[in-house]
Amino acid sequence: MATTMHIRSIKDIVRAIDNKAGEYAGKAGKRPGEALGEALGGALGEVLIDIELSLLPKLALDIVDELHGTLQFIFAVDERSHNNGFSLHHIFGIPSKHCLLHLKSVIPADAPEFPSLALQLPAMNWHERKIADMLGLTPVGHPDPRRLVLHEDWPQGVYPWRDDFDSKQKVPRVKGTYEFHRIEGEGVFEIAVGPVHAGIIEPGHFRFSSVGEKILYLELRLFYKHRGIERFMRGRSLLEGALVAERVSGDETVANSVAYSQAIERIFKVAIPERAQRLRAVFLELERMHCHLADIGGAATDIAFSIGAAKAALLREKVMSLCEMVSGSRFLRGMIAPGGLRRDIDNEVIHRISSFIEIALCDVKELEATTFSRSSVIDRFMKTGVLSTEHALNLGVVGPVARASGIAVDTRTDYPYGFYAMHPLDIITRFDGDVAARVRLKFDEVRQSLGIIEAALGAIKSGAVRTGDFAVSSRGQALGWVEAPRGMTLCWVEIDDEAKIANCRLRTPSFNNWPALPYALHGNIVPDFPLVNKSFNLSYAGNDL
Amino acid sequence: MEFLAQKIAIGIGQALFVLLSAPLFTSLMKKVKAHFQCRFGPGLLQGYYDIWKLLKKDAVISEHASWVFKTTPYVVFSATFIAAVIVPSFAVVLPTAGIGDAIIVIYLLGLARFFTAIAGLDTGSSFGGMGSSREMMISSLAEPVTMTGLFVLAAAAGSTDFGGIITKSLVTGHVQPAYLLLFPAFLIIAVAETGRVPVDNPATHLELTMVHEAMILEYTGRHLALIEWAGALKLTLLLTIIANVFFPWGIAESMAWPAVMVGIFAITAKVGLLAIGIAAMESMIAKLRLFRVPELIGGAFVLAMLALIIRTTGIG
Repeated sequence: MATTMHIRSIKDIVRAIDNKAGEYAGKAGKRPGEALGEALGGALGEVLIDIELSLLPKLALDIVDELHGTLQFIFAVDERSHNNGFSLHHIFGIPSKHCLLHLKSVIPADAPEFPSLALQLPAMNWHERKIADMLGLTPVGHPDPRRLVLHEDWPQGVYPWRDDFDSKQKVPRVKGTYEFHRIEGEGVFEIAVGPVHAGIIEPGHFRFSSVGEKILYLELRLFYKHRGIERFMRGRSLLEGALVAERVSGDETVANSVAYSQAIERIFKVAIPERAQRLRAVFLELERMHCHLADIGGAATDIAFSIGAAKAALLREKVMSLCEMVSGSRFLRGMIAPGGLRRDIDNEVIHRISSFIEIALCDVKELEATTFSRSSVIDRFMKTGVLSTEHALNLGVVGPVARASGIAVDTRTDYPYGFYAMHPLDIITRFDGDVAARVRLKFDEVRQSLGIIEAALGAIKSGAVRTGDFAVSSRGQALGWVEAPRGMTLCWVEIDDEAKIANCRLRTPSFNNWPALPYALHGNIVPDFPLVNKSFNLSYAGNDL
Repeated sequence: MEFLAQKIAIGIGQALFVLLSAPLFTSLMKKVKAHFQCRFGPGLLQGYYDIWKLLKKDAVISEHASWVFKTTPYVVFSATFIAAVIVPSFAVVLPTAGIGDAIIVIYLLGLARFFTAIAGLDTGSSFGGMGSSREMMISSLAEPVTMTGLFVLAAAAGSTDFGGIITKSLVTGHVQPAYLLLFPAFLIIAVAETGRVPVDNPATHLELTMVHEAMILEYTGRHLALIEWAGALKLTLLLTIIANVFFPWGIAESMAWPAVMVGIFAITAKVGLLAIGIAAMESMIAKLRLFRVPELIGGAFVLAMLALIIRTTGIG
């Protein structure tokens, strides 16, 4: 699948992308976005290009500057057994070309290091550190080479993603301390919060340096939930992989399993039936709705606006009950499989979903009126936790957080897949970048989701919901992408000769968005942190596989 | 002799009444808030169950805690309890009124607050200190309002004694410009002093937003029971002052049993209605941003000052 032409400069990359676009346009004779909906889940989609490692810094900077690409994902794979090195993958999103540019380079086994670009492209910061932790590849020139995913009690020189690591072994714990960044000066004090919190919250440590109530600096210390999921995926069957992906993070069940399944479908070049495409979109949007409604209610809870919180909880409960009625699971588990759906749903159920849309539209309108008719609420939301467009761009922020800061990115429109390739959407953006913008945006997106569900069910025809014979196989790899409630989810899968998962890498939107949170807090006061954090709605489990 | 026995009975009755009715009013507020959220909410006796449960539990005390931490619950509880006993609830003239006047009540509450704040600092947790600093900011603003308000009432009654103040209200009626200005000021103070929305949120689990709860975060078991109970007493006390100064109807003016019975019923109903009103208002609005709180209390101060000017210049 990789382009064989020799890549020397950004011009060669542009040519490679245009060539592929031409191929697709030639096939379907329509705009690329529509062509792929018919072909294989995604506009131009992934363009895989092999490059020399030494060219990487120049090319990456040119992609960002000239093609306005944003770094989405960096991962690496141990290929020493058959390739004499590690493969390093950089995924850039290039919305103007509807293309996810996948640069693959090889790191020789005897020199396990790669040039770091985190100084020039801050979005790479966490990705490069994760690779350093998991595979022992050193990002040379990284400004902050501390551990990220594996904490200090993990021994040096043990790398869980290397092939020679025995995942069944019990790794001894060692002593070590994490060096927090220190802010010094008169009246500066530190507030340490977590990792154990009051209430039902996932673990995360927040270290505030503040003067009085004003936040000077916030350092995040996450990754207390590492379960080794990506390693656990190795050797699983294709269906097992979908089940594992579903369980990465509760409220991203559908998004993660669809991203995974689309990667498999792209490896095997399988187009799933239209009914399955439509129902997948319905499930994705139901998930987005209950996620956004939980956020809206959470924001109200955090400012002690109990009526708003109660109304949002009621509406969310209606959506989740509907999910349970549809699938038997409040989180829509057990529905998605490579090749379509694991099972069909009755027309009666489809009718029930359709009739829910009207009720929900009414409820959403009322909830929005309740929330934004109170001056006390508006006062708490406006100008709180402003994330500037510049910071959001530099940090590669995705999803509603990016859209509320004026960046028009939406995987469903930029890299259309499944039903979204047949049903173009408008990207909803807001420009203030504050809590109010994020909450309002979520209201708009809930309405948009209802519209999508209506459209997807409007012309649904009966028929098969699953296809594909995945048994015959050779090695292959591909990327799957989905707009999860929090933003773009990317899943890269490599298949071995026996149609088992050889490697899997999953990046949920939270991994890109967490580092932006401290920037939204500059100049805010400590008691506003929970509200800002809630409006970002970041996942701990999805962030730390 | 018989008169003395009656006096003692009324005194003890007053003490027991405030002590035992306080958890009822906090439970009532929770019930009303639950109603606004379409929930059933806990029963009206939940406040008692909670205190009983906590009293039976062992207290976990940080090894870094000094005597301050261990003494504070008792100081807070007794100071608040004594203050609550001084304020006339069902009868104007109480035998317990001899303990002190309105200014003593303010300073007993101040003592309780002082100990809560230093206990918050004592264990050295980051939340305790944060809560103490916020509480001190709020109370340093709220205290002048309370004092100014009390001066207005005292000037009108010619006495700083609560009995005198309430008698004055009974005689003149409350529809006077100074009283009309004081009522909202006292309501704001009651909300601020008891850590309720929009100043503080007693129901939150978010440590970083807490004021009062942050200071007492380290308390457990019987210590927590005493502090929670003291909190309920403080709320009841402040609402009782508001109820009896601004709506003195029904309060027993003699020590005759029928009058006392009417008085008990009246004060329960009045404080209950005020509690329902505050809970309803709490449900309707969001908590203020911390640095907006001075604006709210500043508003109360302006009202109290206006009342004072009106009172002393003799306009009202």
